[in-house]
Amino acid sequence: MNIRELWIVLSKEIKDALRDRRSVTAGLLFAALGPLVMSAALNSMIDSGADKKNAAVLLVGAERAAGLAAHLAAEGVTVTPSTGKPEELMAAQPLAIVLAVTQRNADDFSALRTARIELWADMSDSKVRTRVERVQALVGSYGEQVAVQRMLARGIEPGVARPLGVEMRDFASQGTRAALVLGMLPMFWIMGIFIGGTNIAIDVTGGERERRSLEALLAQPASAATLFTGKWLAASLFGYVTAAATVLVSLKLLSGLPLYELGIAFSLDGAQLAALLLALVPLALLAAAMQCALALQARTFKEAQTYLNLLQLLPMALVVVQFKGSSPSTATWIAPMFSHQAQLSAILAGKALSMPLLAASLGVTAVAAGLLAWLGSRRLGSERFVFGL
Amino acid sequence: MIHVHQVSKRFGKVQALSNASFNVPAGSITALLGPNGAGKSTCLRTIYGLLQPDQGEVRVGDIPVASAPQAARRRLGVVTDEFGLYERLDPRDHLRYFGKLHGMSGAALESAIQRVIDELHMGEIADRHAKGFSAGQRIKLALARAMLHQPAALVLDEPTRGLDVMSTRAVRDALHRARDRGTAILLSTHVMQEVAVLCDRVVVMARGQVCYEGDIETLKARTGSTQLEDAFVKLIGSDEGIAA
Repeated sequence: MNIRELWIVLSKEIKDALRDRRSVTAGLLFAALGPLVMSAALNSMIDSGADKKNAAVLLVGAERAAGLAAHLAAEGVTVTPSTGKPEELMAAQPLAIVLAVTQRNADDFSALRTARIELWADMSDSKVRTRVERVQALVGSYGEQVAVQRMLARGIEPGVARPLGVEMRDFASQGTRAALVLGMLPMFWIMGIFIGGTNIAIDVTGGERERRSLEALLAQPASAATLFTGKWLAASLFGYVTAAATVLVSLKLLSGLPLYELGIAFSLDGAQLAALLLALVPLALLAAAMQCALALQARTFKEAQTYLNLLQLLPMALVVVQFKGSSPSTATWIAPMFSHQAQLSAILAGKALSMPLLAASLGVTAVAAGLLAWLGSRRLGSERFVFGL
Repeated sequence: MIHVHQVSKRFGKVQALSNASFNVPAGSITALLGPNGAGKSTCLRTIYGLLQPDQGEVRVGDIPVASAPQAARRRLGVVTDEFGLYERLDPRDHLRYFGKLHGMSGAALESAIQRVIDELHMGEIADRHAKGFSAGQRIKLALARAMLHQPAALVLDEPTRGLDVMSTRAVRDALHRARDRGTAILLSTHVMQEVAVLCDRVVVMARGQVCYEGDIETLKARTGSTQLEDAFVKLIGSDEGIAA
């Protein structure tokens, strides 16, 4: 293969594809819209997290429960003293949470009997449900406080009635939690590779044959291997640029989100960004080799489109690994696409990559891409393909 | 310059070429004349090495095409049956791309591009995208592209199909000039009239076989016909697929 010829073919294919609206817009649209959808999803997570803190209750009989009201307010719950029957309040405000303290409750409380106060809410609404859980927990903790005071007043060790207590220690570092929440990002970027390369991969292979320019091209003194490689690299470049743009846009959008509300510290330094962009290169090459080789197998342009559109769904397989939750196995670190996702996630989480596994992943990817390129080159120059025999 | 020697090619059950032999000398225009399906395109494709003959050999100069296709293609200019243009590129883009693939570059390439643009009167369309080109504009560009590197031999698959009078004349003039410079030219056609005005020699093909090779006068004399068309019909035994 001749580097000069390769460059001639590559630069022509890039120029040609840049003038093809379909090749350009698919990638651009994905790079712009993909991250938007992603950040909208994160944003709603942040909202629901904030909801929990912003719980509000309507307190019926507030005059009988000053201590409870003060406790709730101290924990950030907005307490609105209300009058009337809980049923009526609920009918007027279906999403409200109503806490009703009756005179009987107050009497029970004074007489050291358990006061069973009523909590009214529509538990079919998920937002209400998270707020109710919080209010319930706060009422419970107020009850415990009172119990401790009563026991101390009577000279009883509080531990008698409360033999066990659990304190949660979240061992996940901020970085790993971020990687968990942002675990969808690498899959998005990998999809960008496939989406950005699809149209050009079809256009330079089956499309060139369909427009009957392939025969004239193959009649020139450049080998089929050089022509295939030039076309393959052009498709790789489109896939890569789409993925890189998706990376940059999504990171930009994320930096504008109040992720700290989820307890996530999200920041990437320049080295991490460079590592992310570098880690996408091998997969971009492999994906485009697969797309070009597959498009060359199709009998018609339409058939190629069907295959390659299906191939775009391949990154969805990554979700399975993502949500299995188990730590990645060695196979996951070596298999193409899965290993690339693992690498991207690790870089995002600020973890160090294992060099032997990285080398294995690169090796497997290179062998697979090389094999596909060899098959594609043979197919491109074959009588059967050129003349549709 | 082009030597086709006892070439056979079979596609499944169809014997596209059987034992075909002929030569295209330098400084001549040879017509490959035959009805549709006679094997003309198959024959041309073995010359530029996109089809491998089952038997026989094709040489360009002294280069065997089968074993050295790149070297052979370097000496060839090819116009394929659909011309094979890129819709989103303009003629200069086309010429630059193919010129570079033939190893041309820099000022030599640019002056060669200007030369073929002038020679084929393509100045007006030189900077327009090829999408929407008329048949005449398409053939001019395809021909300019094939002639850019001044090949020793030109191979053209039905170059005058669907052309109007002016375009036909422009193509004819360009081919005559190339012949006068010593280029060996082989063009396939099923249009009889074209052979008489454009070509010096004729190779008649039917059912994959060469049934005549030589000059037009000898063909007429051999078949006892004064008209080329009659001579042709006598030779292949049918008038199927031939346009006057």
